[in-house]
Amino acid sequence: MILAVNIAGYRLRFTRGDYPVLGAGLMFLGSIVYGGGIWLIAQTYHISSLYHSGLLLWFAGITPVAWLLELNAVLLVSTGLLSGWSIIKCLDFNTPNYLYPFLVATVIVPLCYKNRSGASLVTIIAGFCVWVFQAAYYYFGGVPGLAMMVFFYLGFGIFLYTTGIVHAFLNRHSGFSLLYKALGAIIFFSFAYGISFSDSARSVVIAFKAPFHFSLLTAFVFVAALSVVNSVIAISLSKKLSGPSKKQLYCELIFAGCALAALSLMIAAPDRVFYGIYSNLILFATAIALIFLGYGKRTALFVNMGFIFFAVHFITRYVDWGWQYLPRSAFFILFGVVVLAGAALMEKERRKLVKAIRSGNE
Amino acid sequence: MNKKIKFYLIIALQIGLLLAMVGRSQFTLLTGDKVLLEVVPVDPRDIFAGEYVRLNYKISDMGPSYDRKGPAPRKRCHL
Repeated sequence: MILAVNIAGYRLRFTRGDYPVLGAGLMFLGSIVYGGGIWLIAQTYHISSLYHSGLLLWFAGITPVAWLLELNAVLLVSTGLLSGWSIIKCLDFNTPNYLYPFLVATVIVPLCYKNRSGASLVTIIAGFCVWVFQAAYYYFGGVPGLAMMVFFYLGFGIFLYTTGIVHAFLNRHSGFSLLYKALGAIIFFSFAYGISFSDSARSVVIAFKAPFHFSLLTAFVFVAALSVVNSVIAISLSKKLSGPSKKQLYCELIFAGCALAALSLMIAAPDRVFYGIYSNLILFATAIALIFLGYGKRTALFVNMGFIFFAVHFITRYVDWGWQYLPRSAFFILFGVVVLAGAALMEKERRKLVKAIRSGNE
Repeated sequence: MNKKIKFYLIIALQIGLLLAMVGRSQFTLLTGDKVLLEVVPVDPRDIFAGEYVRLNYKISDMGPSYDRKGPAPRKRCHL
């Protein structure tokens, strides 16, 4: 069956070339059937190998197909398999999987760039985020000091955003620019959101007392330094740009710089009350900055993301504080009024902005 | 080497890998010593699944004394 679907797929896509999509679909099916074969044989013969080895074998078999034929669907499966292998292996052995970042850097990331596959890049970045957490967790023996990792992820979000800024200058890969920026903003917002809760802020403050917090902070310093390098590259490349585009670029870099400075201040003054107020300010500033940048750069995605971030933040804080300080009946009545009125107002403004952006783009 | 040959080589490698898995296990089945193990039913009744038999090897059950104390110190146990 593997042979049949692959031969048929290759003929339809390349030899005859009259049904390229069907051909790609059949070769994708071939990759799935190959993986199915591994599990079926393992079941049939009671192969008592470790569960995750099957995923690695699957990955090793289909990645060359993705490389040779530039099939992005196969690459996406292969990326998911590699991340799945790493996660399950970590859980099975309780040790960090040191081979994973090596395979990501030498196989998957180059393939994502070669095939220009945004979906695989997003998958591998998500997989890498999980790997960092697992690696730190097992390396430090599952200690509560892991709360410090929140600074790494916040810095990593800024690093991804600045990587997106640099990619805008790369002709062949400029398509990744928006993807990196959006992913960076989502990661940054998610972890700032996490730290805005009283309990998580307390965990981070406690983690500062652990003797190893400097080793975890090194990870933050590393990604912060990479962000600065990206910013310097972007400034050196900005000579090609004209007036308004240059202004937009500097706006983006100033926002990224402010975010890094804000994080440094958090590290310098670990205090629960300060974190509570400060993280809320960061969340609010992130949402407003995205709307501002989205409008300035004529990118509807950023405007939409900014509005979603603002709504999530607003509703969370309302529920968080309203539940404590308001009588229950007033809480629910006000909640309904606020949500309805706020949603209607925000949607009206969002549509106005997106319409202005689209008419400007046309 | 053209793309077509490379592609068929990769597919041959995939099939070869699967055949190697089969061959390795089949070789053990053909050349290995046959050992017959007594099986015992475990949990023959379930409130949802009804009557069924789940088989386990008798030697897998180390007995209640093992559960209480664990393996005897400095004694090897082969299964």
